Amino acid sequence: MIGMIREMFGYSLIGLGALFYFFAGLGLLRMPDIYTKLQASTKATTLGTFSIALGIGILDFSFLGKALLVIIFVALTNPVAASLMIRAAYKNNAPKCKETVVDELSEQYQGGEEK
Amino acid sequence: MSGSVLIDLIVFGLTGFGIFFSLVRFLLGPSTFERLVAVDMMNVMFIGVIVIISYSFKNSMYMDIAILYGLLAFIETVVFARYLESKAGKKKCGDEK
Repeated sequence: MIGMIREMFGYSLIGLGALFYFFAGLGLLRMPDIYTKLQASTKATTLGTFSIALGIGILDFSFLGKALLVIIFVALTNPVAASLMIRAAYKNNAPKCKETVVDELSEQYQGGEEK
Repeated sequence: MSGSVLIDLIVFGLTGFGIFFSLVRFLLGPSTFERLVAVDMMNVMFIGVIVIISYSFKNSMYMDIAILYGLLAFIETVVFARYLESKAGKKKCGDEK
């Protein structure tokens, strides 16, 4: 009984992670400009990887330590990589979509050059 | 992965469509940055796929491969981002001259 509940919990976590991967790909395909694309895909893939690794660790407890290592690693590296990519895109004046309302960083950077 | 075909179909189907959409964005992305973002997202999704494979083969050695792959992907992303950033500064200096 306990084992069945554990399996159901683990498989539903893995399915949730796969669903987040699907939405990340969809956001990357359909969003209008680079900023929204990166926002949609980075958050979704980070949470999807957390969810898949935790699900595998719950399914088999001997995998739990390394699954937690994978989770810590992705939590450390993925936001840093996203921030670096978006700063490079902003400094190169990547085009914004028409619906952009406010750009607070334009006071700090002007034309890719720091004030 | 599991005993049930349905769970396998749902998990690998959704993950495969996510990777496929990233690949399409990589192929027809308008600028270099979108290609870079697509490659980084594909790398993170491959980490998840390798973790699933490690459970499927019942061998926890694949988890180490996932961590190493993530490290190499992170270094690749950082190097490309820094390179594009430095190119932006140089272009600005050339315009001023």
